[in-house]
Amino acid sequence: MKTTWKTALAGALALAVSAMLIPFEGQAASDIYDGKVITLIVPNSPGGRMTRYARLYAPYIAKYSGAKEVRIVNKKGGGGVKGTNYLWVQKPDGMTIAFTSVPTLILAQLSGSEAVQFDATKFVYLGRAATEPRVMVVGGTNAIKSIQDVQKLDRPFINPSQGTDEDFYTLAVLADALDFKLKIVTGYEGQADTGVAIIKGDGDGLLTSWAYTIPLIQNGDMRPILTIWHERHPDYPDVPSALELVKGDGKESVQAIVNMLAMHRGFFGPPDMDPKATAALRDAISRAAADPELQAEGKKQGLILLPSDGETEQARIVQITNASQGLVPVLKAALASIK
Amino acid sequence: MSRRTQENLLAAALLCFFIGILVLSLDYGPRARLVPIPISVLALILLVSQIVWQNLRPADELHVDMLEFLTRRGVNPGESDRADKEPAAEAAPGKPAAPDIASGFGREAFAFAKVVVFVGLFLALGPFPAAFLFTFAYFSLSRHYHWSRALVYTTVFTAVVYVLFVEVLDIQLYHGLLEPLMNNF
Amino acid sequence: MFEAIVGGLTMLLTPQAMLFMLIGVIYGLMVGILPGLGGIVAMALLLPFAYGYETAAMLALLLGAHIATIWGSSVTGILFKVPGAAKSLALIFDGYPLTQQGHASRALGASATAALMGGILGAIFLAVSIPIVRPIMLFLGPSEYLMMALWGLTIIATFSEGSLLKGLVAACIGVLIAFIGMDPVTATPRFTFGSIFLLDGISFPVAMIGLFAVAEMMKLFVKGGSILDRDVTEQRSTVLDGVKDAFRHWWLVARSSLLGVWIGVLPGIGASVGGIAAYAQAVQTSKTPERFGKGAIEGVIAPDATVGANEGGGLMPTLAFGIPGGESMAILLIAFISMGVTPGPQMLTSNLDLVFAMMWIIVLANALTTLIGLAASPYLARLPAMNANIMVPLVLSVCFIGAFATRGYIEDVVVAAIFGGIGYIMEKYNYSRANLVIGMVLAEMIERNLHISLTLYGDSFIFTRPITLMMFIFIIVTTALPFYRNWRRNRAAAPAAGGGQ
Repeated sequence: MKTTWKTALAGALALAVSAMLIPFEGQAASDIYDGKVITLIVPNSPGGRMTRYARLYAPYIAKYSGAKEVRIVNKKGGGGVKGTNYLWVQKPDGMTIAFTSVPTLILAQLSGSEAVQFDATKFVYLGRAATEPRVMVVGGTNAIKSIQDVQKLDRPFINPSQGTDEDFYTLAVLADALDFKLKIVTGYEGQADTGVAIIKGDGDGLLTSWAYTIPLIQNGDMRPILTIWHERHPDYPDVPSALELVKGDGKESVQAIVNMLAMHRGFFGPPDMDPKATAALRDAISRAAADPELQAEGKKQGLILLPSDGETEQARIVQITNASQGLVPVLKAALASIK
Repeated sequence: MSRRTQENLLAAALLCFFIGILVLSLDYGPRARLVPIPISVLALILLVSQIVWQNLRPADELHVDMLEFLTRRGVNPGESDRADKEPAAEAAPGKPAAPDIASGFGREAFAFAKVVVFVGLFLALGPFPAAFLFTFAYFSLSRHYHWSRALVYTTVFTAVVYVLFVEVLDIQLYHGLLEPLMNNF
Repeated sequence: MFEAIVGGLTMLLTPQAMLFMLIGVIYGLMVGILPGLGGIVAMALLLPFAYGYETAAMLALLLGAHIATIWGSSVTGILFKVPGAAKSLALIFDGYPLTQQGHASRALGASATAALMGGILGAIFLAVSIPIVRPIMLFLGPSEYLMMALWGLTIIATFSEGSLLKGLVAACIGVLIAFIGMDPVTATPRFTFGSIFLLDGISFPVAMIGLFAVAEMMKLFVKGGSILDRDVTEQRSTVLDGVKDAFRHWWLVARSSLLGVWIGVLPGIGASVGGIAAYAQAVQTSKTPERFGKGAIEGVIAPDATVGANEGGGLMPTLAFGIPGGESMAILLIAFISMGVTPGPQMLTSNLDLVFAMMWIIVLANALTTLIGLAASPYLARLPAMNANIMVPLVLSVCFIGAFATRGYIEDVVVAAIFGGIGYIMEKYNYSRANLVIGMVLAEMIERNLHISLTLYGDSFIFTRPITLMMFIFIIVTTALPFYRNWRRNRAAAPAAGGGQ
């Protein structure tokens, strides 16, 4: 739809009027981003799922913020760390923001990765597009049938792993909190590799997303034993959730991990981002997520949406920061175990 | 510089490379160094044998080494002839090939310089202006085309490359180091 | 089953699906010809346009593009020594010498035909082997993958023409270059000197662009003229010769296709290993291995047949388990899910016609690519005759932009230039560049699987895993055999030669 000068003028007038009437929300959207280009850094591969989420959201964020365009710039590398380092030093004027897997960043930082130049707890979180609860599965023919069996094992639980991703650290925290011995075998290359390893019995189990694993569970190739979430999966009510099982010391750590995973696909800006811009973008992202067109588009592309607003996400960071003291030794020990 | 000296210089450089790798690897954990250390040690042994070998052989046999000699793998008359030519020509100054080598050295330096210049342009101006300037300069300075034709061809070429990479493949552009400076004016 | 085969074909025979396949193939050819970018990029870029059309049309667009990129990459490998993607690396070993000798048309014809035959044979092998895929995937593990990688290393000897010592040194350099960056096994940054850019390692396509294309242009500048040998004034053979070559070597094509299917099926082996394995297989089974690397047409046919057949194999982990086998399959899975089809073994019962539709796409897209390719080859084959003054700036421009485009990092342009210098020096002093890239490709596969095997099966895993042990013995025997034969021949020849002097 082309905007003629008349509608533009009418729009400007309407905005001006609404700006006077509602001094907070409307104003932020109108004068900060009007006609500007927002750069959205996606530190992942251009063909990957993260970029597809970003592409889905970008036009709608532009629409609701008043920006001329939301331009996606892929800065892939270092498991998302490289592009995030870049965002860390950008001007906090709200014109450059990022979108990626937040738990990956927080865990990279807490585990003491040498590449990290940012402090993930200082970013300004603007909203979440989606998150997919993780599930712990074991091979279909494995003698282990439940998380209790894992705890009773007299040998370590063997986990084939693709490397130090969020599943690696999550499992290490779970092993610590639920008190079972864990042996992580790194070096596998990709999901197919690790999946086949547990089906054939080279490994016991791994963490993965529910969406990916449901066909495998239905075939009997894999068996779910734990949901890494604050509640059980509605379709698998017999599978316990991590938070209900943990008692005592480990509780805070597991809560922090669940909180991190909950922030999965999130938008965020540089530290001390301009408050007006922050408010405008949080609002635009929430409204984009609520747009039925975006939802229909997402469904068509097979992108599961589970939005959450910026304030909620920012609050999770506080809990994570508080619990991080307890987490750090566990993460470092996990890293040391594969050296 | 004789072929032997050149070969020795290169082998020495490689020797430094592998020693460097070995020293760096010693700092890594037992698993991280499990493969790099044996590989660099193996490479060092191979290189030392190569250096010894190439200094014990007469110059015109430099391209053959001991294992090749022992096994006689893949040697047939036509081939060994062809392979002989180059080192033999360089080892025998005074033949017509000799002036070629002298100018060859200059041309080699020029070839390296050209790549460096292109990369410099690329860094400073971004991909497409660099490609345009480089191609245009190459066409006109090599006198292959008159500058006006060179300009036309270069423009068409740059446009095609631009369309392919930017429009069709959606490559995100790099604008060069100079752009932020120019924005200040 | 027959119904499903026909059903799959009829799904595709709609105007929309056919048009989409044509668009996909043309797009894929363009992406393939540009250096540094492969089929995954093509699919990812097309994906947003694919939604909302017929299922078959969507698959035809995506899979068609992916398949066409393969041959597109072969073209530049053969003509300019610029491997378009990691997969088609092996094409430059013999394809480029053929071009230099004036046989570009023939090489292109053989390459396109071999890819088509590989695609068709691959689809057939796949259809036949569906019942045994699952047990075999469960049978082979990391220790066997390790042996396969070691077997791949044995072709290093082929490229060590003139100097085995130097050839081995070059391979060691390649292995060590592959270790630059974050080690995937222990999360240790190795040889990065604190650089964040180097954490991701040296990008393989960028290194290839430098080692081969940039170095070749430097050489061309020094030498002058064109990349053809001086005495070549016109094409010495036709595209048809190449087509005949591919048919004449049908047995090699069949073996290579089978290999390609299985490399696609097994999840631990990357496609870039595929081309090299095919090449190794062609060399080891050849009666005249010494011709390889100097313009043997088999060296073009085998890798192309393998990568052609590879795609079908990539479907198998999905069909057997519901696990995507590679990145390209992961993108197709997205398409399945959005169509409401759950990927997995149940597709073999409930969506069998869809499975066959994909096989048909592989066959038809290959046929279409080959037709376009054969038609274009005579024109493409004229390109290498261009004067150095035109060729050098054009190829350098495209290569450096391609190096930049692979990851969007400006540092990669510098890396390509540095590898250009390395490539030039290696070429000049007979340190085989082919060995360097073989070392680079196999290093990670070797390291990963070695660590997994040691952790899971213990230090003496070679002797405790029977299949691994068998493969290990096989490698030793096949490596030693040519040396032994030569040694015997020399001994037999020595007295005669001595008597003559």
